[in-house]
Amino acid sequence: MRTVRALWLVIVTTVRVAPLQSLLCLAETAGSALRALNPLFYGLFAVGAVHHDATQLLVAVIGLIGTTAIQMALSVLGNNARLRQMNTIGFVFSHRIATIMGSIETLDHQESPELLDKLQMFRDYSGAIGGGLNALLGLLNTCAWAATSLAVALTADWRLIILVVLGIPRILLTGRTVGWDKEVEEQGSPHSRRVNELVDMSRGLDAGAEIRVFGLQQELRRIIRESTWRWQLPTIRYARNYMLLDLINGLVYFGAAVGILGWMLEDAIHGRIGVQTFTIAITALATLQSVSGNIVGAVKWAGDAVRSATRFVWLQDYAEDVHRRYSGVHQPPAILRQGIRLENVSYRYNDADSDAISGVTLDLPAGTVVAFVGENGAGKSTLVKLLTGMYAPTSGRILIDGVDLAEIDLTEWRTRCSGAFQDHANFEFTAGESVGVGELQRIDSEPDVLRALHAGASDDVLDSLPDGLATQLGTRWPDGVELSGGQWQRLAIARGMMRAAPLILALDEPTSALDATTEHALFERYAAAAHDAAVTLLITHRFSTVAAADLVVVLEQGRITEIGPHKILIAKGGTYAELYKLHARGYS
Amino acid sequence: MFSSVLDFVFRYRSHARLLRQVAPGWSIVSLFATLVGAGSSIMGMVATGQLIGALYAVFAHHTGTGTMWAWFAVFAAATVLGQLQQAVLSMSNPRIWARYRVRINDLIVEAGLHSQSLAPLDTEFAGDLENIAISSRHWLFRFGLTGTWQMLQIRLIGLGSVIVLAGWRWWVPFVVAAAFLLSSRAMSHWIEDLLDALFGNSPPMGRQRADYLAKIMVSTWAAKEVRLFGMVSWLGERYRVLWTQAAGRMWRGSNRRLRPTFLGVAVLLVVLGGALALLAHDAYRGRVGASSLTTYVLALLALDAFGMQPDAQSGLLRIAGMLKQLGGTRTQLGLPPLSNAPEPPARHPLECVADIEFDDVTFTYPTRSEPTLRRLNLYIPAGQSIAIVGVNGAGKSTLIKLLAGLYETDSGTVHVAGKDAFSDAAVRGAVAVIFQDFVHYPLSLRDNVGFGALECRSDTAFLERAMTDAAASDVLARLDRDWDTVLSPQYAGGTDLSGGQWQRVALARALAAVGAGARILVLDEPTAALDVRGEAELFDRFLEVTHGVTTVLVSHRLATVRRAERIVVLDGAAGRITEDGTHEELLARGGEYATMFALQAKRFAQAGTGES
Repeated sequence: MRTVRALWLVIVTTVRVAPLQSLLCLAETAGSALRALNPLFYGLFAVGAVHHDATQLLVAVIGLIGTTAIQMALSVLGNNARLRQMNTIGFVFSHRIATIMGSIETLDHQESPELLDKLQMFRDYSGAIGGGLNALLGLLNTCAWAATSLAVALTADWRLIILVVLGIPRILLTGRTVGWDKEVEEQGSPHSRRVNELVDMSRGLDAGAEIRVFGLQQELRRIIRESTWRWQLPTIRYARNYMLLDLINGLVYFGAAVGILGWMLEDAIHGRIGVQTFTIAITALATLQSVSGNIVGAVKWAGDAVRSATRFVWLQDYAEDVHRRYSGVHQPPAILRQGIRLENVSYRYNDADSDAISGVTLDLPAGTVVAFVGENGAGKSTLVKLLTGMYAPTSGRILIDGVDLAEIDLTEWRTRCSGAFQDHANFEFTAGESVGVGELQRIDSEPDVLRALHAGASDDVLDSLPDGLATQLGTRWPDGVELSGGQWQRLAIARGMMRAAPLILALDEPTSALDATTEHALFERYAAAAHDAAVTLLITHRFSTVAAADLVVVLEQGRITEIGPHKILIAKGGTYAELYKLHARGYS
Repeated sequence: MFSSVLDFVFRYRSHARLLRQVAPGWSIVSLFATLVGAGSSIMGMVATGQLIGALYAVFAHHTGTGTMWAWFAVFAAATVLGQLQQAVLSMSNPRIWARYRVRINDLIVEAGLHSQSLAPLDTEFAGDLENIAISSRHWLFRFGLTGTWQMLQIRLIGLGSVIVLAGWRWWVPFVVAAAFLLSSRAMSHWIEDLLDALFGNSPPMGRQRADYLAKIMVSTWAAKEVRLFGMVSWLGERYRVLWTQAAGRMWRGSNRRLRPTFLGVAVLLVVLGGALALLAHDAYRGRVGASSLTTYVLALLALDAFGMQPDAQSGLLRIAGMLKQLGGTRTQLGLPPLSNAPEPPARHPLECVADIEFDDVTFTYPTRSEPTLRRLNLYIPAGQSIAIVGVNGAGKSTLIKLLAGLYETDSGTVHVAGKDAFSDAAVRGAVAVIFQDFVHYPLSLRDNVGFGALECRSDTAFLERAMTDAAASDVLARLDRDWDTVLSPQYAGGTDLSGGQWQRVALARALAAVGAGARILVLDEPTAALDVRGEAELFDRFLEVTHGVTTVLVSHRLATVRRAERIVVLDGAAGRITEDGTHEELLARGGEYATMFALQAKRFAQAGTGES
């Protein structure tokens, strides 16, 4: 069902994007069909020569030139249109895929091997949907050619209908190959993914440094060679199937064809059919033979194309399915009056055996700075992702001023959140844009970007850039500048400072790569600005910062074990007090 | 025509050489099958003509049917052989292409890993290699692979047709083939330019920028921020605008090339028409017999083998282009273009405890104009534990990279145990580093730890010790002690680790290297993702683990740093060491270190420990 939808989608999109070009794409098909008429003229040529008939010869010459001329002209036009269409369709789908991928509400999909496999196939067969159009047209051309050839053969002699009948199981058999191709692709996909990851590593700076230090060059090469081989192995395993198919084709189909021709030859000797008829039949068979070579290839490419398109439809369905689950329509409040409440919230990652967050009930009053403390993997980041709507709770509710987050329009909600993360993105735009994307409506406003840089204690990053905010980041671009890890991180923090009055400001270890002075400057500003934001979520390993929060939440294995202001928790003498003293000891 | 065949051979020489290298046997099988295919096509053409001629003779002159049936047998054999040849290719091609891909990937990877210096990866080489890797995965590349024999067969059929036609008027096939070549030249100029612009190895900058935007939208690394900041529609719109601009420029260029293409086709038609008319004339006059006529007609039209073969040819061109670029890049990197460099000799780690000396070192990154380190001097005695502190971008990581021999200095020298860190192979293997941005290998736990000491990778007890030393025993426990668990959720049966767990695994890797004989341990922010308990646990064990090893620690956490025997402050603006001493000495000195420490300590003092 999806296959049909996928095919239909490619065709409809093609036509809609450029109707005239789509029509011109068919020019090649018409040309191919025309070329199949040649046997008629071969026959005429032979008879004309035998009978010394100048008219017949002339007609044959003109016919052959005519079909060749028209076919060539149509082929140039068709090729041009086809490439153009392929390019455009490739873009249209790439744009759609990117948009869908970028707007799937939650992030769960980033962790699902199944989805990642499919996405890798998008990448492996990148442009395949665009190329798919190419393949479909190729298949159409081949079919038109084959059909016309058969039709021509049939005009010569009725017996050739046997070839048409024999052609049906052949086409069905060829159809089987689409299934094989799919299996080959799926079996190879994980290995293909690993190869891509490792090949990318081999030219990366960070990985390059480590690989050289540990002398892993030869080992990495060995692993890549091995993974590449495993990726390719299924094609070898299935080779025998294809070989058998070719053998059957060769022996049965063309064996039968040769038999029929022999029968016709016998008839010809006895004068029951003419030389011309025989000529047409035999040359049409030659044409069929060359078409036959193309059919398997054309089916294969078309199969690839349809699979890519089917994957796209799958992605679309998946995105819609996710989208349906986020049907919230309420606007988020303009300002937070009471605060945010988590009610018995649990969250479990795909395929995990235990909850990452388990039965958390928690009040985050408006206007507070809340620090989350806990070991790695205790669920701090998961909690931040739940609050910003990146994940939906597996059970329980998150209430924003009493309204369930599930009933709030998620996109709108996110416009009221902001944040900075340890695993931030490095956007290779201009420095100004890289910060400004934090609030797209004011991306071009220099004062706002400068203010955010200041708020993020990142002014001196700007000082080191040759063209200030207009500096292109990333060495792959002309005049691009590479930043150090700490500089990138501070741009990410500045990005998180772009939004004027977010309801949630999430700071998930954004300062891990920062030195003491910068971190200090930053936290002073957080502390001063904190009450602009309704709730500030803070995750850091630095207890000096934690202590300044209004509320400290200690998490252990997805559960809250301690909660309260710093002073009270210290007085209580539990885990928090112990950890804090451990840290403070270093500074006494 | 011969020139065209030569051109074919010449242009695809590297491709052919690689084929011979990677799969000599199967390539010969495919080549043989291709020759059989071309031969059977020609044979079919000749037999068809002769058969019709013989049939006519049976009618007109009442000759025997023996000759006719003989030609029919030839025709039948040619037809069936043509199909069997396909079956052989179906067997051999996947085997060739699998090996071919393995080789291509190896050549690409070798290029990225070859130089001891990281500098090439810091310049446009990384981009070149990325483009090469992308085109090696492109579907046109696959087209080219399958098109190889197809293309060869077509050209051989063309050649055979010329020979067949030489029996009529020897010059005619040359003229017609020349006309086909002319039109194909015009057409391929047009189509190659187009394909180059569309799928080229180095697409125009506008398209690269557009593609980068699409990449952000589908990426994992930006997913969180793309959503949080609602960037999708902005990115999408920008992608559309940039792409449309780039595409518009390209088509304007391409349309100009269409006219010569049509002209070429027109010339060809006149020539082909002339040849057919001449054949008709000769047949009319009886100069060409009935048995040759059909063969000649078929052969004349088969000369289109010299014309453009869009799909196979463009795929092959893509391969040729990619190989050229790969060869060029490899040559620039000092590698043989398309064959492997000899393997470097095995490492021989230093026998003794190593001291480190930076002598007047100045260093500038390839992409920067200002030096990061200026005349830096630092001596670290063997066995000392030293900490380096300094503000962001001061050059701490740079110093480490020079110590690890990853860059060549502008001036001055870096010596480890008296040997040059960059050029002396003996130093490699002596330095173990855990970098701030350590690598998450999408491989098994065994590989992730064992990569520190390849020769001990199968020694589970050894790896386990490294894990224990890195306070990573609980990671092992979480994986049910399965050393073969893949540390990436993206693979079936794989699992992800948290930031802190990863950090411990990376640390175990470095400690494994120490266990296997590395004399210097460099730790760049080794506890950035660890919590305070993990960090304390680690450093409590540390003295024991690093006994007899020179240790260099870079950290922002001054509470960690103070445990080192000696602390140096690297000043970013000056590019050299400005303070040097023990924790107490530096505090007493009241310099930059003292200020930084006071800052961090003050915040604790403010919060209070509840004990006072």
